[in-house]
Amino acid sequence: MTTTNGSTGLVPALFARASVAGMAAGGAVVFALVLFLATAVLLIKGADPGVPIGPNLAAMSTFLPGYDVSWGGALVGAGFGLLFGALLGTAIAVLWNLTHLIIIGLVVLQATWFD
Amino acid sequence: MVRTYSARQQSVTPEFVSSGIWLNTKLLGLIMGLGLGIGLFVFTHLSILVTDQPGRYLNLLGVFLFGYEATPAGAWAGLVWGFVFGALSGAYVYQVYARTADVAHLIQDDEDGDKIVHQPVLRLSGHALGLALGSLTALQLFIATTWLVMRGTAGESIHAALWSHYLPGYHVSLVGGLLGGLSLFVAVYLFAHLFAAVYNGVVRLQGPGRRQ
Repeated sequence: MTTTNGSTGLVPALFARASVAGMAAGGAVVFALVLFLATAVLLIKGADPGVPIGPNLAAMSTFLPGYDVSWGGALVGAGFGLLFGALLGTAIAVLWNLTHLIIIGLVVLQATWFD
Repeated sequence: MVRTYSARQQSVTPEFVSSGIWLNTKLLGLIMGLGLGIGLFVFTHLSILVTDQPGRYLNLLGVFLFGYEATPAGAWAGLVWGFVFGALSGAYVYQVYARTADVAHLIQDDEDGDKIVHQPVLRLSGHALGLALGSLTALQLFIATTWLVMRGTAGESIHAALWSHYLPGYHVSLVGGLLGGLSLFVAVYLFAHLFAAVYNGVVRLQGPGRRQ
């Protein structure tokens, strides 16, 4: 049976668990920044006099109460980004860990009972 | 008899490693597929409930997802399309990530002797994640733009053209799709680096032996 030199660390890495707090924090920071920058870019670019800035982006206010294309709205958007990013990161980490735990559990059970 | 299984102590064949990578590919595909499918299904129903014109923006997805519209029946098509796109995207991301990153060194060892299975904490490679997510989103933007050009509606695609506010060089044409794809790749690459830096920072703070 051939053995891959230097790859012994690979197996724990393939089945390592994700940090729920880390994924939540990463998702929160990135989503908050994306929503803030998306609004800020439109505000900096501006629009012709009498023309509203970012009417399509402003439609997000349907789902994000208090949001609009203004500097205050950018902060509100960043707040919602923190929340949704953290929830998304948490969900991915929990699902990733759960599916791995189930598979590892099945392998260990099989090895314990049938070895 | 209960034993401690430490994979570090075992011989590893290339076939085993390959199987592990494919297993994770399928798992991330499944997670992303379910997430995007159920997400689109729920979001469609939420739009129907809370907005006066639920199809104002969501119906634009019907250009790419045949059968989709912002109706209860269309939400089912969204569930299926979302699963397909999510699964393919998740599988692509993991394959590119695992083949780019030095995954063997991307773990934080906090071995606990009491555990039956030693499962270290994952660390992320910002470069590999950036390549995987950046190339995926760039490819998707290029394909979507090409589709708009091929169906002859590039000139009418005013919403797609709005991407030019954020992606330098983008417009609804083949060349614009390429330039926009490059801009998107750079932006997503940088955000992926930021994500990985924050994630790895939290993992470091939690430190060996500490609970999550």
